[in-house]
Amino acid sequence: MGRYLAGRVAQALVTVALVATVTFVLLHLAPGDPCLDIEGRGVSAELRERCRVAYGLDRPLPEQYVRYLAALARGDLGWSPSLQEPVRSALARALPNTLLLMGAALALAFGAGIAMGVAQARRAGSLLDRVSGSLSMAVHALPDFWLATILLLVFAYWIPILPVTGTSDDLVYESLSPLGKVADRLYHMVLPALTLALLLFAAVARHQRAALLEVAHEDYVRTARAKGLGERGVLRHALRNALLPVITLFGLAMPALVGGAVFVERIFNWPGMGQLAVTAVTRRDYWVVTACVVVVSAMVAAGNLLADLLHAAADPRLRDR
Amino acid sequence: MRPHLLRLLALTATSAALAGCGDDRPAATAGNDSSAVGGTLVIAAPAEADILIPALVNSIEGKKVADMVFEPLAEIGASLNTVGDEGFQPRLAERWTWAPDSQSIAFHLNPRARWHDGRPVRAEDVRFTHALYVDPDVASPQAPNVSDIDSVSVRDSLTAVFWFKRRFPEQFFTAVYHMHVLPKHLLGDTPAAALKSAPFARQPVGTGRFRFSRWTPSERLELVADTAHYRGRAKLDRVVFSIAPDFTAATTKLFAGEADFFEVMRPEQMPELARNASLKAVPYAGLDVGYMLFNMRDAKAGARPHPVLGDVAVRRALTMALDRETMVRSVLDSFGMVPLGPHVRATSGADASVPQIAYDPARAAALLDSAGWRDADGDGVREKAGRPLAFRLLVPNSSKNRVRYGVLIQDQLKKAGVAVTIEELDFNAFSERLMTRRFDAAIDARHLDPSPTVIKQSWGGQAARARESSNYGSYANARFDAAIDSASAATDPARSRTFLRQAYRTLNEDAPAVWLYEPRMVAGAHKRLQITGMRADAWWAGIADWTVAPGQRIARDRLGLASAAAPAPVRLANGSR
Repeated sequence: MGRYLAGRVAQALVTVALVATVTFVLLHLAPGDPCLDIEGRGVSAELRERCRVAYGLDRPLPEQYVRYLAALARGDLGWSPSLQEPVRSALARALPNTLLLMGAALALAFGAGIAMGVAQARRAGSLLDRVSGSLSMAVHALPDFWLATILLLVFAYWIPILPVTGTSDDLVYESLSPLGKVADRLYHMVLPALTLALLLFAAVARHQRAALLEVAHEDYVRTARAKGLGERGVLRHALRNALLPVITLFGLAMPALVGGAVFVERIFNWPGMGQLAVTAVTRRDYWVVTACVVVVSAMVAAGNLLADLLHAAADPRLRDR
Repeated sequence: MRPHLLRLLALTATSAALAGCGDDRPAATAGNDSSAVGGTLVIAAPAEADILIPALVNSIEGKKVADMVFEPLAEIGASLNTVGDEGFQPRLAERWTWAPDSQSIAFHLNPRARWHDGRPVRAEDVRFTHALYVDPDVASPQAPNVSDIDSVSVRDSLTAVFWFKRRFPEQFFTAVYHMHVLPKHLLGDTPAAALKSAPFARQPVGTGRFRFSRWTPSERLELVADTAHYRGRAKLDRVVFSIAPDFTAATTKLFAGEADFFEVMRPEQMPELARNASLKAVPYAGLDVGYMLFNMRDAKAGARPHPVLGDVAVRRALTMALDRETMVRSVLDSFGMVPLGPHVRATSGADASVPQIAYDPARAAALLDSAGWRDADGDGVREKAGRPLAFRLLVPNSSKNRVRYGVLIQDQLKKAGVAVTIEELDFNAFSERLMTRRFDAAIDARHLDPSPTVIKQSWGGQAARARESSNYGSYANARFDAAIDSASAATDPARSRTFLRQAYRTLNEDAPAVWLYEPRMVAGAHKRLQITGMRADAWWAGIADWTVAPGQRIARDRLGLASAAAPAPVRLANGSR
């Protein structure tokens, strides 16, 4: 297991390095110039050149790349010209917001999705199963940006009961008690987290339902029933095996979740990694964009690794391989 | 007896305020009615500020904040007059005196003016500010605008004298409009190269009627009233810039009630604005102008004239072929008008009598025919010596209006036998293509300076020769240069206007651009806001006098100043200037 884990970590590192390389090269080859954003459009050629020298952009691309990798290896993500602060400071601000949002969305989607899948499987073929299955699939079929926009429209214009932008109240947050701050954050998180969760929820429910129905006919379930185990006990037995496809989905969901977060953060003005990256792209802040991509790819790799570990925890056979 | 006592109390309170002993009590302000003081204004900001040091600000959001935290020596008036000192209002300078030969102006500082950290404002700060603005290592974007100031000397602690390299009508404007006074005691030891990253750039200490309170990047930036301000405290308690990533998110904040004000509403948002019982539309003048810019030079070989657009006959024909009135109605509805030229109607030099190239498709066709551009092969596109009458049109996809204009222009010119290929780029790439002159035509827009002669930077011959200038189209005409130079040198306003008219006429005749739109600005604002005036060059200039009627206050207006964050002490960077 230890060797397996080490192998997966090494694989993840290679993936992250490859992603960083591709991002770095594509960004530098794309039209635009970070110094235009820093110095403004009417700036003289001399000032622009001075800016390029200051940020090392006058050097050949391979040299810039080697310097960037060397800095990255030292944990130095560079200086953001558009934000005028170290990139790690910008990330330190944005990453917790994204992790909070994704964490909440994952918990909601998997918690509610597994519960729904179990309920559907237990009443397979019933009206509840058919209606809830159709509804969740309809939601699943919606594009993330569309769903976010509709929720925004509903709660900004028609039923203004939930905050539609930001992570906290612009005015009173600083004066709130610690508990009040938590409540305010949660209140602001409802819409973005719900949007992200809805995107995953249906898939989780469908997978859970199908997996439970499949194991329901297995010998060990029949044996458990024959031994007189109650329905709750049988379900607990079956659920452990039926979780394996859902755990696989957890690993696969990470890239979709990250992609969805970009839209959701933008639409609900949630200052996370997605919003930071999009703004940095428009301002040609190579350093922030590359750092965001590196962190996000690391998050995806970590998510997959976590899915593997959960697999091993749920299925003892895997631990011995 | 009783009324006498009340008058005495009021007098005492006013005296306390005048002596700079203000506090949170509304009555203790210079001339402020206590009931009119208080309230919170949340402005939806469609982008983040860059830097809050006025000399280094590049973004419009940064400028708004810097203009509210810092002050100039004098403020331009609502008429935007830039000649002499007519209309200018005292700010840090309570008065000024011109030297008999007009080579210098002495500014007498208000002795009650204080930095937000309590230190008095001194003439040495003014001298320091000028030195910082023109320091090549600071690289202030405003440096070219103050290049006619030779130096600033200190006559005494409260008198700063501006010396000019030459005499010209806009001397006073040049001295006060572009420079906001900076604190030497806080910035004097910061090396030029470290200014942008200095803590001061993100938590400034100024002299404005609002002081900086806090800035949470990507979320909010807050200013609060300086209750001890020498000109009387701001009527609002606080101004919060609620930062949104883009235009749409900013308008959502307004409609959702999370913000009170957004500066630019679009025509399609007006029905929603009208339906919203809490909001109102506030029209105001602006200094923006949009145009289709032609490149006079070949994009591939800059030394050669552009093979199509280098010909004035073609440019004039293209202008005649475009129905600009219809386009402005299609894109901006009643929120825009066709410009008179490269300037806007709100500037002092605006002149409606300058001849325009009128929409006349028949004449456009005749002009193109006579220039040798004919559709010989019947494919709908004119040719000349085997070259089709075609060009690429750059459009920034960040502007919905300009994208729409691109499509309309393409369609209208197609009818005239001109093939236009639209190239949509994001704003950074668009700007880079303009700056490096790699384009045929582009739909560009400018936010102008109040000075009517500022157009020299975009259309002057000297600027055309300097490749890094903002004359991206490389337009040059000696007649225009002579007229604009004469306009900027004429001391008699009537004579200056005559020369300006000549400059505008030359420009309109040469058609280096098709003047497309001059937006009529409309802001969306909460109905409880009493907006006292929005200057065309900077709508935010009068925010300190905006009020919220006591009877109409909502929860955020009642926060008071108690919850405002005290500004963190500014750490000084090592080194010296």
